[in-house]
Amino acid sequence: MAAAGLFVLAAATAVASPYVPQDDASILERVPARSDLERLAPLRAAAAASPPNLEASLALATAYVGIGRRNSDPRFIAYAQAALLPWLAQARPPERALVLQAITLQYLHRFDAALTLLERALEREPLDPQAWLTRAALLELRGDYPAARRACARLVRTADEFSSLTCLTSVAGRNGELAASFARLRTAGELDPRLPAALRTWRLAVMAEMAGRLGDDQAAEACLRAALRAEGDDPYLKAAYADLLLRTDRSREALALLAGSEAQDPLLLRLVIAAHRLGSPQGERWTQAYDERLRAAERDGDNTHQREQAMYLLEVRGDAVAALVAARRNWSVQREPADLCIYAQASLRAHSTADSELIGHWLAQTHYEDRSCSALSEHRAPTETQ
Amino acid sequence: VRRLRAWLARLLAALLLASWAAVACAHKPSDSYLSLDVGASGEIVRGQWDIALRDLDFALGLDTNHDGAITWGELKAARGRIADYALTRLTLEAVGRGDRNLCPARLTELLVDEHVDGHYAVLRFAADCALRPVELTVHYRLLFEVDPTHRGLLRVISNDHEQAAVLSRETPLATVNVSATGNWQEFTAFLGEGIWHILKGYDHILFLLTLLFPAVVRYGREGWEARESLRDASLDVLRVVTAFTLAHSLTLSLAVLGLVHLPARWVESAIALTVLLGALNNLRPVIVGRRWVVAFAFGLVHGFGFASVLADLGLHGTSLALSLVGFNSGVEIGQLLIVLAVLPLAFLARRTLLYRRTFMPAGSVAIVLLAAYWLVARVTGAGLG
Repeated sequence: MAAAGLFVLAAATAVASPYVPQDDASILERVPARSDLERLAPLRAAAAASPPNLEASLALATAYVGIGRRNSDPRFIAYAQAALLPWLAQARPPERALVLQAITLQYLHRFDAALTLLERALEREPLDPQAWLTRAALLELRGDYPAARRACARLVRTADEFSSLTCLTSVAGRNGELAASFARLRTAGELDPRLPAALRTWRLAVMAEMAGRLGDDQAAEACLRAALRAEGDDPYLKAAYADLLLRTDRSREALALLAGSEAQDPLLLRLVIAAHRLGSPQGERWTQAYDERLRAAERDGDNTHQREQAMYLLEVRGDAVAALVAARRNWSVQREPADLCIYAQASLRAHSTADSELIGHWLAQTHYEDRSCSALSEHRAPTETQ
Repeated sequence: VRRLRAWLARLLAALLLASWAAVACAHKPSDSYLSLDVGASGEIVRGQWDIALRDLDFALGLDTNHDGAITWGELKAARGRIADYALTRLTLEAVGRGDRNLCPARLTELLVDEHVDGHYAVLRFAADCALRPVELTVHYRLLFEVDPTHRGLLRVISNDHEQAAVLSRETPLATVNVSATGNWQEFTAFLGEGIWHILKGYDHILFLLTLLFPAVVRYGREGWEARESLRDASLDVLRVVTAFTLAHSLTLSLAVLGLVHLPARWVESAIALTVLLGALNNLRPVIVGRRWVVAFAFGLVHGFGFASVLADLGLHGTSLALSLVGFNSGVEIGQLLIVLAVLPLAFLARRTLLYRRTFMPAGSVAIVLLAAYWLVARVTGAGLG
């Protein structure tokens, strides 16, 4: 039955009929540079050899996750899983394969399954920094700050001082120590130049988020720009910067920043919102494209888009009630700053006292602060007076 | 610790922050759309398979000039490789009556289509099963070796009936019943159609009535007079109805088997004419004794009418005889129901003046008028009443 329903929708989304392109030179699809994949050929061969080579499989999976992240394409997450599959099928999977598999699951928003795998890995190898760091990030995302802090603390002994500091300040910044955490991370900026670039980018991203929540948009922008200079095509950084531009009424700059990023759903959503605000003629086409992708995701039972769906429903469709439903469901899965803010906005616009109370309670309990999200201040007041 | 740190640095490039993942992966996973059309073309299964260019690129490397873009030229050049890759990862097996065959597929056309998540190569293919499948087994293996989460969304169309399945690495097999329906179901379906057709086809009912009304009476010097025994009346009805049945079964079979073909408009007009003549004969009897001959002659015409209904219902090779028998039996059952409803009433009322002097003539006049109207309408094509 479900499959039949799925097909009715599939047929509805594929309205255009197949055709023969006129021109041999017409570009049909952008794909990751072939050289990226060809560089992996020796790893692929080694991973597929008999006996299989664990190091090659892990390196291959790691490379695929990287390509998937840069291109916002979950296919590569699946390719990474395929590379890990023979190892996970063993009675006693290597613990590093478990950790990498947990990372791929996290990309697919299967947070519970990811945490379970990490636990298994840590039972085997209690000192694995990658496992602790991933666990901390997942717990932070879930809003379990005390447990996240404990996981970060394990990094002091297992990884390096800098990773544990970034991890701890990031969590503490959401747990009542925003200003102090930001200051700590900033002064830790006199960095060891030998630290890998990815660590610096991570620090900048965390700082940008904190500065924004402190209401210092200038500092946030400076951090994001610096991070983007290092990793210009990173979709997360682009989305974060676009959000800042949209928040500060700079929709035109957001359009310029995201030009040519239509293929990536989260960036397409920001384009839709910017065009909608500007009344830009391209808006309609983008809106239609986003709408179709959203419906395709719904049809596939893919619920990784709830946050974006809520943003879209509230901002573009103006449907506060539907937005609240999506935002509430999303909040039960992930509790990042953006998840809380859209939840607060939707419950405010839909006049839901029950949701407002829930949010107020959460704020009181965690001492979470976010001055960039104006809807939050509305929630705090009534609960504190009670 | 040095080694751990190097490992950490390598992995950090793959990004650790959960929020990174939250944004990074909002994109449709890999699906292909496979639709198979069984039926219209008999032993050949026609397929259309939409496969994402990104998927094909990863598996086969379509971007031959390494510029990060796939052009139509590059796709066309890879036609043979794509056909080899895809069609060797799809096995179709047809189960016929008492036999099973593999259906080797051949690419007939390569097209392009746009889906929500980008462009897809559209492979149209023909698979020859060398028998008419009753059941089709699909074994799907595309991309599973590189992408364990890939899915094939299968749609099988047979006899205007659509079935769907989702094929994955865990469930790569789907078996689909593509015979119209089971034999018994098919028979009863056509039986129902036959009954329904005669009950809702006023022209057949009226024609039967023109044959039934006079069965309980006989035409004498003073016009219509009541028959004495029910046995006589019943025998008369039996003769007439049997003749009608034999005649229309004969022409129905001839038409369905394609041995005789008459234009529908002529047939419909002729049916109206039979009703008209039947009613006129009750008003001013010309043929009194051998009414079964009339029933037989006119029954031939009605049979062609039934045939066109059966043709509209759609019939195919193997199920033809079954549907023909089913439909015809339905027509007989419908006829019998009418006879059983009308004969007892007519028999009870036969002696009354009302029946002989009022109902017979007035009823017949009404039928004449109606039949005449049908005749005109059908001959001129003003609409088939």
